[in-house]
This record gives sequence, structure tokens and C-alpha cells, in this order.
Amino acid sequence: MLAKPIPVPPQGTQLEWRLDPPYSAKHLLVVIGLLALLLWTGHRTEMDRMVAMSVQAVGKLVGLADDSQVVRGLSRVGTAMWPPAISEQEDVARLPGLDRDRLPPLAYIEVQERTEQRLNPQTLKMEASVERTETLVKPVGYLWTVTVKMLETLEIALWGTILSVLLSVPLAYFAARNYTPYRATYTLARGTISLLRSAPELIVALFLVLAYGFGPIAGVLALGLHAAGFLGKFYAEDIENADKKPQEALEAIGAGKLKTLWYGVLPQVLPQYIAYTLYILDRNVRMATVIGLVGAGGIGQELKGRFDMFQYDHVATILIAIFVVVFLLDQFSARLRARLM
Amino acid sequence: MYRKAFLRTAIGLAIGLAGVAATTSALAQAQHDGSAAKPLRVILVPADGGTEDGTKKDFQPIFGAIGQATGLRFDIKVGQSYSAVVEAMCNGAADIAWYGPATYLQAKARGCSELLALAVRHGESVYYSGIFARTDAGINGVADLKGKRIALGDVNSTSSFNVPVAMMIAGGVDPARQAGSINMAGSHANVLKALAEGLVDAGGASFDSFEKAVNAKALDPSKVKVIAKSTPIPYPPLAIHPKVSDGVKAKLRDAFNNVDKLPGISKDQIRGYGGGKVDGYTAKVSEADMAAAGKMFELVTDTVKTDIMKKASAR
Repeated sequence: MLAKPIPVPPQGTQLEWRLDPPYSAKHLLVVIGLLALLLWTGHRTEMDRMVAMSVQAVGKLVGLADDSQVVRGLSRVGTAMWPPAISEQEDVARLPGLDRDRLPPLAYIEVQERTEQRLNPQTLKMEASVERTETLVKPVGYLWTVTVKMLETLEIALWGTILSVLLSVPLAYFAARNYTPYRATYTLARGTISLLRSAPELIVALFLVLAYGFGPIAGVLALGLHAAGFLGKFYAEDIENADKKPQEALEAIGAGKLKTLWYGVLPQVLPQYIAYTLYILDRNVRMATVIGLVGAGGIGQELKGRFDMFQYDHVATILIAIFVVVFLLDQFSARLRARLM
Repeated sequence: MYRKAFLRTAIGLAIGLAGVAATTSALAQAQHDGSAAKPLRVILVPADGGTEDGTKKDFQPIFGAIGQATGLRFDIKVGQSYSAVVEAMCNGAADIAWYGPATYLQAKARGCSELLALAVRHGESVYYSGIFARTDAGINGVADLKGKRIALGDVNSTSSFNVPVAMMIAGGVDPARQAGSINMAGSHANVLKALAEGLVDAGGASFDSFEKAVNAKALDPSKVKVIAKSTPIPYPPLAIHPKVSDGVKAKLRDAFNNVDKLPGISKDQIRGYGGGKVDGYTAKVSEADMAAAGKMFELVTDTVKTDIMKKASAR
């Protein structure tokens, strides 16, 4: 392939290399103003302190700084988290009807010596006492507990997603400007969608726990209601944006609104709908791990409880489990989308 | 045609709402009676740390043995926030609750709680709360807290908020105005962790939580000391809804008085506050004792709480 030669100006031509300046003093002023605003909000959100503390932490790590609160805090909790808890230990004396000849699979009984410190309320001094207790050790017991809890969490996320799809399909129909029967139904549907989306799951769950009691019902409803506010908006906007030509063709041969939607719009929007729904499932799995904090089922309550009992090794196991599930779900949804599109 | 569709939707919605209303009223019946169809609904607070399963395990043997002895059925659930458990008692979603003395008094004031039983340990039904301080912070008494960084737990917690604040006020320190800063850490565990990390100079927590933190090696007891000890606080009580029938209440009280002698339960399985071993339970509890404990919190008015929360959110 021949490259075009660069045109050479004839000898003696006066070349003018002036370019119009792209920025004026006005632009500079705006930039300075924006910077000042950023500095101000940055100071209000303590970003300056964050940078200073992070620099100090890096300094400590490379041996330049003597001390860093960040490194101290993180390393202490980090050390306590490692290794993650895998086994479960229970006092034999507390287990009703334990048959010593028929222990659960893999489990064994061992005598443990524990030094318990008590704060004497009279002297206000710590007193140590050694307690010997018979302990039933289940080598993978905690892993199993976390697996079961994670399964419950996934179930809550799944039903929350199903509920949100069921709720958002009719909402989307009324919130799509070109299909809603009246202006009033449009406004009403749009309002409902915004309302559902505006309340965070955790707060909705707090209220629903009061209404439905502690447990997964509140969790499923909270996730479903919030996600319906998201899905309703996106489903509706895709209906509005769908190519008009197939719809016009169907209407011309006398198809009703629902038939037009079914044959003219749905095939166009389906891949996007699947992507949105999978994203909501992903989001619901992550949210389902925290709504337990307010007693709405799932693994969150276990997580907070272990944190409050200073059992950071158990916390580590739970965090790893959440990561594994979110990662696997991501792989699964990537494959599903590749197959469907 | 669209109008018809709209009408149909509207009618459908109306029928749906009516159905919802009907089920709600059917579900929100009076208190349960402990039969197999209507088991007594027990709600526990994982006070002072403890997981859902752990707290359930602490109380399951007790309710199991009482169920065997009396034929009553129980449905045990674990709540998370103190306020949610009070709401559950007051809107008829629970018959029996286990929560802190301060929470109990809140529920009692709303007419939905009366005393059922208290745990007994070494002949007493009390525990202690304290104000703890870092030994290097130069604090030797409540008066030294002025200008210091203080951490407190959940605003509804008896021993990590109400009692420590009451002790400060009684000691002449107004935490909202005279503390250097206040940190609402959310729980006993977080207060103690903040102390251990040196993020605060002092904090309020129960003695039991302190022991738990030391035993879990989350706190070095040589670096933190008690600077104020509370008067004895009654153990978190088991409360019952006043509308539960008198026959059921009598059966329950009798069973709790004898829980350590009931068949199907061993001494090690009787647990109380924070999962600690207790000797048994007693139903011989007087509202007067509990009310006396309430006097302790009277210093901690809603205004004080609001001021402290305002201080905590200020930077």
C-alpha cells in the first residue's frame, strides 16, 4: 500500500502557525471555581485526612513512618480473621440427648482447657479461672452452617427477584408513555415506581419486620419492592424506545395493544430485560446478605452476631462465602446471557 | 375498550386490597394460647452480642423443658433491634419477649408487657454496667471525662447507653456538652473495640461484654480499666403480654420457678443473659424492683438522648 506523500508547500510561502487558543480566561475562572468547590466538599468529607492517613499507612508499610492508625486497626482485625473458621465446637454438657456412641459424621469429642477471665464486681480486678470442658468438635461444622445460611440468603434473593418481576411488568405497561391508557395512569405508575425505588431496602425491611415479624418474609418483600422500582423504570423505558416500525405494521393489520407488545416489542427488548433481571438478582443476593442486620432473614444476622462476639475468624468465613456466591452468580449470568443472545 | 380494561384493573386491585385487609385482620387475632395451632410466640433479643442461632440455642432447652412439663407449645424467634421487639409485643405479634430492663419499661409504659421471670445466679438476679477507660488516658473518675472522647452503644441499650449516661450525669458530667466527642458505636462490642484500638478514651459497656472481649483476646485488660461501676441492674427479664390468659401465665410462672428441676434439662443447659450459665429462673419478681431500676434511667430523658445523638453526628 502506498502512503500519500505529505504535501510540501512551495518555496518562499509564508507559513502561519497560529492556532486559536482553545481556552479563555473565563474557562480558567470556571476551573478555579470548580477546584475550590471540590476542595471545600473534600474537606467536609475529610478526604484530606483520608489522604494523609493513607500516605502514613503506606509509609509505615515501607518503613518510613513509625506508626499508622490505619495499619494498626486493619492488621489487628486482619490477624484475628485469619485463618477463617471452619469447624464448630459445642459444649457437650449443653447438648441434649447426645449419644456418645453415635456422634454425627466426622465429629469427635475432645477435652479443652480454657482460661476464662472474669471481672470481679467487688474488687474491679480481673480473675482468671481455668475451665475444663468436654467439647464436641465438628471439623467442617461451621462451613456447613454458613452454606445452609447462604442457601437461605439465595432463596430470599431469588424470591425477591421473582416478586419484583411480577410487580414491575404491569407497572412498566402503565408507565410506558405509548401504551398507558391515560395520562393519569402514566403519572400514577411513574410515581409508584419512583416511590418504590426511593426507599432503601434496609429501611423498608425495618418497617416490614414490624409488620410481618422477624424472618424471610420481610426480607423477600423488601427486596422485591425496591427492585420493582428499578425494573419498572427500565422495562418501561425500553418499551418506549423500541423500534416503532414492527409495531406500526402489527397495528395496521389490526393487532390490539397487547398483541403488538407481545409480537412487536417483546422480541426487541427481551435481551435487555434478561440483563436487567440478572443484575437485579445479583444485587438482591448482595443486599440479602445485609438485610439480616434488621432481622429480615439471611446470613446478615449471623454476620453481625459474630462481629459482636469478637469472632472475626467466623466473620472471615462468611465474607469469603458471600464473595464466592457473588462470583459464581456472575459467571452463571454471563453464560446464560451468552447463550440467550 | 381501554376504559373497560382500566375499570377491570381497578376492580381487580380493589378486590386484592380487600383480600389483603381480610387476611390481615384474620392474622392479627388476640394473643396465642400455647396450643399446637397457636403456639406462644417468643421473641428474643441477641443482647450483648450473640448470633441468631446462638441466642436461640441459649433458650431452646429451657422452653423445651417447660413445654414438656406444661404441654404448652412455643415458637421461638430472634429479633435484631430492641425497638422492633417492643413493636412486636405491642402490635400483638408476640406473646413472650426477652429484652433489657430499659426496653421492658418502654413496653410496659405502652401497656404491652408484664414480668414473667428473671434468671438467678448465685442467688442474685443482677448484673453490672460500667464506664471503661484506657489506662493511658489519665481518667480516674467520671469527673475526668470532661473533654474526652467517649463511645456509647445502641441508644436503647440498658447497659451500654442508659446506665453509663446516667452515671455521667449523676457524676456531674453532661456528656452532650462536656465530652470532647461522642461516638454512637451501636453495640457493646463496637464500644470495646473502639477502646481497644485507642479511637476513644472511654466508653460504656456491661461487665459481661468486657469479659467476653478479654476472653476473645479482642481487648487487653491491662490497657483498659473500670472507672465507674453501676449499682446492680436487674437481669434482662422475660416478659409476657398482659392479654395472655391467666391460666397460661400461672402455668408458665410455676414452670420457670422450677426450671432447674424439670426433667429433660441439665444444669449446663440453663442459660441467661449473654449465654452465661445461670442457676435457674424465678417468677417471684416484683414490678417495684424493676421500677426502681427505672429510676436509674430517669436522668436519661429523651432530650438528653437527642442532645447526645446530635453531638455524635456533629463533626
